[in-house]
Amino acid sequence: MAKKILKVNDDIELTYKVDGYILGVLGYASVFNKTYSLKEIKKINDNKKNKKVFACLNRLIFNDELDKYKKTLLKLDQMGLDGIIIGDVSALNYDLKTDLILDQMHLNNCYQTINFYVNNGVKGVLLTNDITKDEIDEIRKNTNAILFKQVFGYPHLSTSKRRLVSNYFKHFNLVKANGNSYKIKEANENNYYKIIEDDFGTFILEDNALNLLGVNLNVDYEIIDSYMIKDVKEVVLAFMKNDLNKKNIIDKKYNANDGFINKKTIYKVKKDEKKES
Amino acid sequence: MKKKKVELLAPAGSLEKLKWAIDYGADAVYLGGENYSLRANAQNFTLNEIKQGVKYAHSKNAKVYVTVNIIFHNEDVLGLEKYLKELDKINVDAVIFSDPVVLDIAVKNKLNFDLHLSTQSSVLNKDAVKYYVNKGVSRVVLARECSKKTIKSIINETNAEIECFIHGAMCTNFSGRCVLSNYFTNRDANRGGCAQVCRFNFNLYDNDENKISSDDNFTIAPKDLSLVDYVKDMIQMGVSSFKLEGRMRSVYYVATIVSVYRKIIDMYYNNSYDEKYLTKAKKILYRCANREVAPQFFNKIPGEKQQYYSSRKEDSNQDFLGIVLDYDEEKKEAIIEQRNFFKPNDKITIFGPKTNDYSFVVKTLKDEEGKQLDAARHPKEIIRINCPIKVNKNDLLRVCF
Repeated sequence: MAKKILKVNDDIELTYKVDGYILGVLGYASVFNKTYSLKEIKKINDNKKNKKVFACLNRLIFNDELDKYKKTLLKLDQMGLDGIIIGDVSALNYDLKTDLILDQMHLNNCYQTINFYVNNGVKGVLLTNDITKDEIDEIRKNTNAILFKQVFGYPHLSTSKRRLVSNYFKHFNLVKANGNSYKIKEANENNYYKIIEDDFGTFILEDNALNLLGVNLNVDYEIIDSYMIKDVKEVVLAFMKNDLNKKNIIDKKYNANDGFINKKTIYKVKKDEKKES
Repeated sequence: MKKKKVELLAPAGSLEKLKWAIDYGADAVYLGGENYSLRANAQNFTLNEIKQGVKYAHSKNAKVYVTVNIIFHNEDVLGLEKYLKELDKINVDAVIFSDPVVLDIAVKNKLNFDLHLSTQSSVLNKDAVKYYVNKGVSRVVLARECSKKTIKSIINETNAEIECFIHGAMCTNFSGRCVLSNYFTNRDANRGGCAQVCRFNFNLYDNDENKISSDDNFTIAPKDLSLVDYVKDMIQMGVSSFKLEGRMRSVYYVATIVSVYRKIIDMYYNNSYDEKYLTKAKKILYRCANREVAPQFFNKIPGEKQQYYSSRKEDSNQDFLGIVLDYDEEKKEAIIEQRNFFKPNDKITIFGPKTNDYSFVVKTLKDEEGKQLDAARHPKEIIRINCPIKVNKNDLLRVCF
């Protein structure tokens, strides 16, 4: 049975009964409402009791950030964490003894790739949201990697270094609203998407949450992500109890769906569309 | 140690374009096979065409790199080893990949081609470069988000072979770290199905879904990249290869950008770097694409002016007038296959691998039988025009500007 871990976006979530936490590291974590200093992470980890604690540095690292980044990783390595989630492979050069979990957003889709990284410094990977349950089952059969998979929250679709929203406001002499979160929608379409700008750049997320409650995933850790969600407590409870009665309620509340877990993407458009018709 | 001359690497969307790119001065070309390439819906190369392309390129001392740059799902890996072995047998010079499953198979099978890590891997720092080089990568194509300072530091601190994009369209997002296409259209961006959602128009709303934009004038579309002003800097920094984007672009586009960058690079090495030519070069480059250009991340994080809004311009132009098929020395006429409208008294320019830009006024215009024409109106029509100098087969005609 997969452990349920919470990507922490608010201090109060540290009181929720889950199997563990993912803590965004200040300065190096993207798509978190709340990030933590090393001191805070140490304190949380020291008091974790039976919970798993993972520190997360999930963004790409620019060359001039490397020295500080490495120092941060070395300090985290001394804390006895259950794992460090990294988004940049540079971390694989630093002989860290803590388990390293690779989160490259959409780049870990097959077991051969995962096994390459396992043979070259990684202990686990965060699977992309763009693969099916069957694909995950096949990955599980063919790798010893520790597998993580988001099961609830708004899927993160893209990262840009550009300030796309600020540029727009500047161009049209508009005054930015409070906060850094907006939505976009095509003129004749119904679906909104979240667009969020922070110090690192601009991120686009689904506006409909992913909800895989009740889907039996063959992974080690299922991640509940509360980013942009006011209070995720009822979701956490439903997942911890595997309370399928709550599935529809959660779906309705967060306009949720099951993403690509039962739906393959296409790429050779003509060929694949023919197959589908 | 003397540094090797920088390589000019051009896109080859087809066997025909491969030949044009090499004839116009590319040192190497990159192309996609029918499988495993990020342009899944383009006219890609069969193995036989790759073989022909390699033969042609090697006969002209040029290299061929094959993109095997999708992000693999389990099912995609079937057949990959066989395909890589075929590419090895064909003697391709390198494979451009982003998923390390390709690296793994190539290294385990001791395949001879070089391994170039694609920009899809978004490498931004020296330690990421070192990681991949230690695993067998011979060249890293840096992320287009790298600044001049970053590129320079990476080269100095790793001594690795570094390739940089210098001209063409670019992604809004970090390459490979964008699945907008998957969610908007179900087309898998990292398996070659990218629907270019970053070129779509949107309405912008606040978080409570109150509309902010007055129209669907919110886009995230970037202008194209051009580092034509920084060729000299980049050579001096030690960049190994200059990559031109555009496997889906026309023969005219490929020939034009290759010839312009070829000239600028050669001027640098011949100590004849000419700022005046640079001004002219920019005019030529900017007109042959359909979007405006900017240096993007080279000097700073791109701001307001480096992206498009409602007024975005994607003009198609009719500058490309025709292809020289032959030259009639007796009549001093060029025999042309027409592409766009022109007429007597128009000023045109002919350029080619062995023909310096030559501009003149069209005085006579005839059909194949020698009958006078008032204009060249029909694409692919064979026509004859007066041409005072000898021009060569496959020289190109464009509007003079």
